[in-house]
Amino acid sequence: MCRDCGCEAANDKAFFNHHHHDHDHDHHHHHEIKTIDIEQAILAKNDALAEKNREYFNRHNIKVFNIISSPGSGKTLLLEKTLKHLPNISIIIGDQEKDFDAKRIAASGGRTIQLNTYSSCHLNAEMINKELDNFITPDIDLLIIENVGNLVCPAAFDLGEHAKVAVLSTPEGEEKPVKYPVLFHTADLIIINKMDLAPILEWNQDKCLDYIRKVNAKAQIIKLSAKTEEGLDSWINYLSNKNMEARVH
Amino acid sequence: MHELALATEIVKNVSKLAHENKALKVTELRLELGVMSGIEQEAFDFCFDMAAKNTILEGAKLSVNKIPLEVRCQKCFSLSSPEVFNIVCEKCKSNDVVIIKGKELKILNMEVQ
Ligand SMILES: Nc1nc2c(ncn2[C@@H]2O[C@H](COP(=O)(O)OP(=O)(O)O)[C@@H](O)[C@H]2O)c(=O)[nH]1
Ligand SMILES: [Mg+2]
Ligand SMILES: [Zn+2]
Repeated sequence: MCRDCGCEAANDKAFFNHHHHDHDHDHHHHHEIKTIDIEQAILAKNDALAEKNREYFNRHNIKVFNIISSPGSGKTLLLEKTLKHLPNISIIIGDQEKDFDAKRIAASGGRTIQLNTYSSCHLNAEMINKELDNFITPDIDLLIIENVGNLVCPAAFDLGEHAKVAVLSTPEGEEKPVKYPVLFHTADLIIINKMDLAPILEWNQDKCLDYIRKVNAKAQIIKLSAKTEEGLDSWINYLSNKNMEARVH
Repeated sequence: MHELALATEIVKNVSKLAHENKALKVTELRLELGVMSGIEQEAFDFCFDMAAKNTILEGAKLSVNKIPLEVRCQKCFSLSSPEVFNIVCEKCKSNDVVIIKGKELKILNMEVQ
């Protein structure tokens, strides 16, 4: 059928006389509209690669944590302090540009690599996949990935980690969990950092915990200060827990 | 903005399919987006138009089927559709719920000429 005139039969002389556009109706042109089914998950490629990463991690007994937060909530400082207790961990730093954080980690004696994402605001499974048997080797036990500072995009991209860790710091207020439910809902662990500032900011702990529970009933919650190191032991214990079950997506 | 990364990827995949189907033009693309998919629809619309420039999808209409949140309560087993910022059973208020709909992020189909 021709989209312009709706005529079915090109050789119907009577019909020809009634309409006005003037193509010759030989109907070799492609005016036809058709629907093509696709039914494809948009993140299918990422999810498949994430699954490959996870298989690699499980095969070699590597525990992997994906840390996600706003810029400035204290991810890098937390990792610098973590290295004092667990010096053998490997750390991947995702950043849009530059390698300031990786330099900080290296200065603390950590084994680290910087992955620049440039125009994109998150790490994806492919970037991690390229590091298998490169930076990520079978002999390592624990890999921590500091994702690009952003509460939205990294939440959508599975990297193959065993646990997603969301960091929230007291200067950000109490409401982030309900403003960014996708991340806070999927997090397995939620760290509340900069607890040393809570009194000065009159940050309301009950309110924040209540907001977290509105979007995530099950996540473990650890309150700490990367600066004073108060509460750091809970985080170190969490990381050292060898019996953690592989995350099932 | 991961919307641009996703839009670019979608345009790439859909273009390939459209060319394989010997289409001249994609006139409409239909997606399914859950409210918990992490995609901001306005940002996505904008990025899609950008990504579609100079491709077989240029000018295509983007139709988005928004899927609301649907949860099953593990306490009273009822189904309900709460807001994303308060994921609780609307019947008994328990937060022990399992999401059964709302995470969709899917290309359904396209109209081509
Ligand atoms: N007072 C205080 N400052 C902190 C704490 N953790 C991090 N900071 C500071 O917050 C700023 C941002 O930290 P950084 O680790 O770079 O955050 P990132 O962007 O999440 O990696 C730095 O000036 C840190 O020294 C904390 O627990 N208490
Ligand atoms: Mg950092
Ligand atoms: Zn209920």
